[in-house]
Amino acid sequence: MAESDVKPPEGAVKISSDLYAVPLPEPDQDGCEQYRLWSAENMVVQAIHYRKANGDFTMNKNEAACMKD
Amino acid sequence: MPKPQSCFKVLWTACRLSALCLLIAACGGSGSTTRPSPAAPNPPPPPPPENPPTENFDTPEFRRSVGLRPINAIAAYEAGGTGKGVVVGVIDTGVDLQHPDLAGNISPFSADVATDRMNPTAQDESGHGTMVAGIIAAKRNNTGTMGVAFESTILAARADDPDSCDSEDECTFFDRDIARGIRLALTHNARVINISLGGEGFNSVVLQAVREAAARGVLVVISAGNDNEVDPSGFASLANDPLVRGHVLIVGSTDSLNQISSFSNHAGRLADLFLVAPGEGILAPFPQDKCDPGPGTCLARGSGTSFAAPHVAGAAALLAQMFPNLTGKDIFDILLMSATDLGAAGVDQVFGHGLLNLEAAIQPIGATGIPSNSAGTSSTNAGTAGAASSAAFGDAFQVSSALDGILMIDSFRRSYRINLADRVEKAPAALHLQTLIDRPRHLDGGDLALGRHGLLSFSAFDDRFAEARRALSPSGEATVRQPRPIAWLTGRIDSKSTVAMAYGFSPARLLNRESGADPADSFALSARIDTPFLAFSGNTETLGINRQLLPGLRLDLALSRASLRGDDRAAFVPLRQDNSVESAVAQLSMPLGPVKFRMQMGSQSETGSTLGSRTSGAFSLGDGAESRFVALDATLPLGEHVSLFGRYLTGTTRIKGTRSVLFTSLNTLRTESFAAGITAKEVFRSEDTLGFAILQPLRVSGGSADIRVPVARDFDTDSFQFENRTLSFAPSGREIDLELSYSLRVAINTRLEAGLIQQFNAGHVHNGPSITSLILRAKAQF
Repeated sequence: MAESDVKPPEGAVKISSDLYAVPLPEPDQDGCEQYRLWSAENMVVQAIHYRKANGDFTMNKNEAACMKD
Repeated sequence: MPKPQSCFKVLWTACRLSALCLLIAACGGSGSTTRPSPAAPNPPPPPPPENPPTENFDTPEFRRSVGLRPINAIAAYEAGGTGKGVVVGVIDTGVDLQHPDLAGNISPFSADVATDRMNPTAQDESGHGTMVAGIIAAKRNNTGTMGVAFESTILAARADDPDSCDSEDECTFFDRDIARGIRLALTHNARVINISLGGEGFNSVVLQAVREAAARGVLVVISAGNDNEVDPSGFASLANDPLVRGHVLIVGSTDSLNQISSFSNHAGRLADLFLVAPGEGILAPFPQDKCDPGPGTCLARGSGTSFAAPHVAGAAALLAQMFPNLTGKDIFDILLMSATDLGAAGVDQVFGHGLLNLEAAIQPIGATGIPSNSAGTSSTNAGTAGAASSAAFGDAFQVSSALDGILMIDSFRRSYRINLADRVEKAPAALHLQTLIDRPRHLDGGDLALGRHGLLSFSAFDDRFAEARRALSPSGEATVRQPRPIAWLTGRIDSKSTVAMAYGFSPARLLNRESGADPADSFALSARIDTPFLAFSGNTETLGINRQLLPGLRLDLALSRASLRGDDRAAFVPLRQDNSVESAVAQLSMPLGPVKFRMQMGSQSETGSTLGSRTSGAFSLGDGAESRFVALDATLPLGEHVSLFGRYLTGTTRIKGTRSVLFTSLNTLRTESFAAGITAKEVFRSEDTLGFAILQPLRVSGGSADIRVPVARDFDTDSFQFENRTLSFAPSGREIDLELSYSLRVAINTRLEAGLIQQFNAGHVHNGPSITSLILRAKAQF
């Protein structure tokens, strides 16, 4: 997939060629940092993502590093 | 269009093909306190059970499904909502085809619609699609979670682009594949399509597919987006396209406190297409291979408008199952109209229409009617259907099965079963004691002699007990009767004849005043009800003529007309402006030996009521009634101080005027009342009176109505089936009262009076309550 000329939002973390995780301004009530997915050209799932201990992103909060601290 | 009516508890026991029956649980017997329940699509072969078992839906599984309680899902379940038979298309990452919480609820036509996948499979490798599908349709099996529409069928269209995924299988989606997924769902008869995806915009390819869905009456549900922006996402804005408007719902997310989620896009400029649903901390099925092996089903906890939208999609599936006649546009309207208003009053730019509310969504909305033809194209008004029945009818309406299980439709032509008897307010069984003890007090009145033969008396009735009632009333309020004038003009025509005109007196008082037996002078019940047809006062004009025909033989004639005041019973049956009663009675009094006989023959014409009962809407019996009655009264003295008395009245009533189309015919009513007793004077002391009586208040003893009511609906032909029934107007029981009364003059112009009344089968209810009333009164004149 070709990369778009549209710039991703500030602070976005690249996941794949046209898929980014954009941090939300505030953590949730458990203190977990929240991310939304973003793509310049395509559609993405509308689930909040979290960082796992290995740095990957997950939509399953049970796997989030912040829940295992 | 008006908001839904208030809710009631509903029991659902019917299913179209499985021969269960739909019932309504009536809550309370007077006034509209019972919810109509959605009617089964087809009548069940066996008769419905009287009291179907109430199933408990508030289980641990239900509570784990955290989004169900905020949307009041239990109300829908108790009404029979399951989603069974409804296909919901889920355009997403596929679904875990082997998940134990979804197996059996996945359509075999689920498929991979991504253009570029080497080995197409609908199997979910991400987890998102499985969670979305689970929120909609996870099975209710006491494990894991349960979906909103736990018996619906998921048509999973896997549309994630295989070349876009990361190591965690997070992928993007092409519009063309989303469009293919929509068409796959349409091909396999999806009624609802959920798209928990979003992006900066949309192209014509996916828009065209959504237009096709709208044209086929399918409801599309889209996530609002997680950008925390004042408007829904670019993709969600396709809901505003003129060719799809009214078929696409946009769903934002709320937290456990029904606040808008911090990440959720707001309703903004698309508020009229927007509602919210729970979208934080949602527990839902997750692909089994993403969980550690071990006991239990694999679940994940997630947040996002991705998980708010499927709550709405599941709710739509429930409505489609419970009300098969609904189109996608109907469901769109119902879900928005029934949403719980959050935030600023009305449709606002944060919450749109508000929070999804299944309990409200299943209740009748707008004008309701009872179909009067098989096509249901004409109906009689159910919303104003009601009756305030008078005491003579007792519990006739409540005990009759003829009024139960009648189909009613709302403004969306959804059918409900109702019991019209729930719209009948029965007369209170207890005596209205105040009428027995309260007498008008002269206020600013007087007597004016008019020559040698005339006398004018006038006064006003004063509500002396208003302050006491206010003090004793729990709410601090009390009904206050306004002062009303009373006037009395008598004149002597000749030595044997008198004429009287009265205003504010009952005809019974006028008839008996000349004989000295004014019933208002006695607070004994037996004296008050001797002529129930004439026992009204209020704004009554009466003309009376009395003539002594022979010694001991007297003829009294009375003509009267009363305009009835409103009362506070049955607020849904407003008193007509022209409620009135006209009566004509002839009374012949004569002695036969020691026995004093009195015979009355009379007629009464009511406008706006039938024997004092008022009806309206689908329950309207007519414009009024014509009654004829005959009463016999005898008094036998036993010595100087004791006398026996007996009274019997019988009457017939014919209802007149235009009646509701429900009633194909109305048969003549028969009524009767009787009293017998003994009075004795100077029993314990001089100037005392002791009385004992047994009596039956006026009671409808016969008469009925033939009714034709819709009882079933065939959704294949969308036609109603009718049944002929007979409604009896006779109550189940017969009230018998025993009365013991005593009065004693204790000083000049001062009397003490006491009465003990025991009502058996009060209100003419078989095995009805026994009510004991004790009256004490001190009467003094100055």
